[in-house]
This record gives sequence, C-alpha cells and structure tokens, in this order.
Amino acid sequence: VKNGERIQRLEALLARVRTRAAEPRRARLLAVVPAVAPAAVVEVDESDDEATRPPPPPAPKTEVDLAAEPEVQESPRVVGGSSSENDVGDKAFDSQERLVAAMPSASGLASEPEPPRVTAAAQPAPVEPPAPSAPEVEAVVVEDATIDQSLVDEAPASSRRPVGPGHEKRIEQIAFGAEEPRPPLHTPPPESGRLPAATPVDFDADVTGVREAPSSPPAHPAEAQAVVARGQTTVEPGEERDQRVSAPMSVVPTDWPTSPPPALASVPAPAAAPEPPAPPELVADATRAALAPNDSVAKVVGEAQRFAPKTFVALLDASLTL
Amino acid sequence: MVAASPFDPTHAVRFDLPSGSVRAGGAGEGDRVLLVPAAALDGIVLSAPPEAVEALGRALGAAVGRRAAARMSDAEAASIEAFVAQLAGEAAVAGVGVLSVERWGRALVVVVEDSPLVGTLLGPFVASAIEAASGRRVWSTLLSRDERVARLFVGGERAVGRVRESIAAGHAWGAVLVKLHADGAVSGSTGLSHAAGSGA
Repeated sequence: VKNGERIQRLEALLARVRTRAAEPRRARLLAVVPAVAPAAVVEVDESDDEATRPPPPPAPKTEVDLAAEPEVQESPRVVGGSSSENDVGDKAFDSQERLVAAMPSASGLASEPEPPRVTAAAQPAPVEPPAPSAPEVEAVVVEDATIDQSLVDEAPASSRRPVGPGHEKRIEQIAFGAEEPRPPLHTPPPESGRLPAATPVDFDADVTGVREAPSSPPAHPAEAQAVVARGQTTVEPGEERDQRVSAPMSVVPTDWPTSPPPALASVPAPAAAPEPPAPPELVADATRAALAPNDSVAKVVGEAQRFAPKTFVALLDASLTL
Repeated sequence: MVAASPFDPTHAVRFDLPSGSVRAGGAGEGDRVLLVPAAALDGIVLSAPPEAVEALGRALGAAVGRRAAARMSDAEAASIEAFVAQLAGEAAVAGVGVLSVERWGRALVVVVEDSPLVGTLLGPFVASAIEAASGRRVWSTLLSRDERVARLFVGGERAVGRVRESIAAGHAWGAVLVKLHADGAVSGSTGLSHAAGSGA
C-alpha cells in the first residue's frame, strides 16, 4: 500500500465520520453477530448506512484499522431484539456505538424482568432485511464480558436507572415524615466459637499459702520417697491419664535404688510445717501505793442535828410550829 | 417515856361468819368493817366532789388512828418508834400499805408504800390517823407520789398551805421543806432522820 492510498483512505474515513456526526441520532438496531466468528467485525458500508451485509472476508488490517477497531470485537455477542423484531430490520453498527448502547443494559436493565419483549438469541440468526417502517428498538441487551470498561462512556443522566431503595425511603420521609428514632443499638451478642483463655492471674503465694507442686519428678530417690510419704501422686511420663486416676499411689521409677545411699540417708527429712511458737508467759508487774495510816482522814463539815425529839408528840409539835 | 413495843396483830380482825360480819380491833367488840374493793374506792374518788373524798379519807384514817391509840397506854409519852409501830400496824391491817415516818429537820414526813389509795385520799387519811392517835389537830398534804412511794408532810394549817402552793408551783419537795424551815426561823439543821415503824 502506498502512502497515497493510505492518505485517501484516511480522508475517506474522516469524511465518513464527519458525515455521521452531522446526521441526527436515530434508533439503531443491532445485528446479531455469530458467536462462532470471534473476529467478526461489522463494517458498515459507507454508501449504505442502513443495510446490513455479511461481513467481507477479513482483509489484512492496517495500522489505521487496528487503531479504529476496539478490542471487544473478538468475543461473541448476544444481541436481543424486541417483540417487534420481525417488524424492524436489524441494523449493523460499528463496535463503538454498540458498546455505548449496551452498557446500561448490561449493568442494570439486564437483571430486570420488566421488559418482556427483549429476547436473547444465542445462536446466530440470519440477518433480515430492514423493514420500510421506522425502526424502533426499545431495549438492547448485550452481554460481553470482554468489554473493556475503560473504553465505555458513562450513561447519560436521562438513561434508565434502577430506582433504589434510597429514593423510596426518601419519598416516604417526605410524605409521612421521618420515622421514629431507632432504639439504641445494644452490644452485639458474643460471637460463637472458641472462647479465649482467661488471663492467668498471679496470686501471691505468701498470702494464699498455695504452693506449686514440682512439675518434674524428683531428681533424687529420697525426694521421691518424701513425695510418696506426703501422699502425692507422681506418674511416669508415658502413662495414660486413666491409669493415673485409677492408681492412687505413686509409681517410682524402677531404675532408682530402693534405699538411699548411706550418706544421704542420714540427712533428716525436711519438716512438714514449722511449729507455732509457744505463747509468751505473761508476768504481772504490779505497782502498789504505800499508804500510811493517818487519823485526820475524815473531816466533818457542818454539825449534827441538835433537834432530837424524845417522843412522837414532841416531833409532831415541832412540825406544827413550822 | 414508854418503851417501844412491837405491834401485836393477834385477833386484829375477826370474821364472824355465822353473822356475816367483820370486826377490827384487838380488844372488845371493835369496829365493824367492810371489805370494800379498792376499785370501788377509786370510782368514788373519781366521781365524788373533793369534800366527799376528803371526808372519806379522814374517816378511814380516824378509824386506824383510834385503833392505834387504843394499843398505846399513853400516846403522849410514846416514843417515835413506838407510836409509828402501832400506827403502821393498824394501817397494814386495814390494807392501806406500809407506813413509816421521816424527820426532815423539824418537819414530819409520813411515807406510805404500796398503798391502794389515791393521793387525794392519802392526805386526809394520814392527817386524820395521826390526829386520832395523838390528840393533836394536824393537816397533811402530798409532797410526792410515784408508783410505789407517797410522801406527805404533816404540820400546821399555815405550813401545809405554803407547802401545797410550792409543790403546785413546781418546786422540789426537798427544797420546799428547806424553804419552810428558813421561813419559820428554824434553829435546827435540815438533816434527814428516818424513823420507820415496824408493821408486824
């Protein structure tokens, strides 16, 4: 290809773009693209924009073609038509326009059961010639997982969008007022599962009097016998738990000698508990006052009754004189 | 001076059951008495006018004093102990209570313990009993009264009137007696002397 031809084609492409940009927007009908054609590219004839023809055999693409073609053309497409599909002829679009029209349907409207006239066609269907009436397409469903979302423009503000629950709630608030305040949330219930172990608490052994038993068997037979004497149970490391429960007495390793060595046998066993000190003997420390006898201890204040009647009548007479 | 003799209660009260009479008095026929419930006397005291109550008390005391005087050959010469012994004996036979005497200086105070008589009856009773036993005209008024002990001052009419006024004014009976001695230019001190009569 020469540079001149390339320039001519680019100029033709530019003219076509300008022409189509100047035309009013019309409803377009997507053509059903065979799924078996992975690289099917719907090319629209420049002369007849409405007609749909089978794609020509793939020609060697130039750099300009590769730049103009989006990558989404490689995957199969499922194009659905309305119930009036028979009335409206399929129209072919370029890949860019198809993507723009397919985005809202793929995101939101595809899941709505409302449009009954949209039918999915998984198999390739022959392209019917367009009807002379004005083409109307109400909904188009295009499922293409390989569409590059970065190449797709956002849907216009006037496009159909699902009404979310937030709007209904907003309308209810406007119509009926705000709802009553929710009760305060309580502490969520504890999660099921394994509970974490409690934090080990260190108790003061001097206060509680609880001492930890030696975890390892005594290193010396004398200590082992002392343990047996205290009634504690020592078990060999390999024994099972039930055996330890059933055996009330301890099991001393057999490799230990039965009698302590003479040098250690003379060592006295440690006392079980220190005897309480004897109560101190209390002795009274008496302090006595040295009192000397004295005749002038008593002192009479006043004088004795001088009136001492001998008879009752004398007393009565004295009382009558008061 | 007559030596103190104990009270002899033998035949102090005679019950004549065939004739249905009760007589009090050791010698002779004695006075006919009537066993009256103490509650009946309380009802009379509460309903009768003060003069009637005083007359009733004096009548009861006069009978006791006459019987006590009959036990003493010479009341004028009787010691305090002898006089009080006979008077308290007759009071006990009549069921009035335990009678004793306190000497506060020159003031004579009669103490009656466990008496069923009310205070309004005790004053005329004590005065009339001493009057009948001693032959002197005396008056008496209540100094104090609690659940068990009643104290009565025995003296002249003027002194009794002053003590009654002082007690009614709220003064303590001890202070009233002291004041009584001061007002009367008592020469003796106000020491307490107790002469209790033996009941039986």
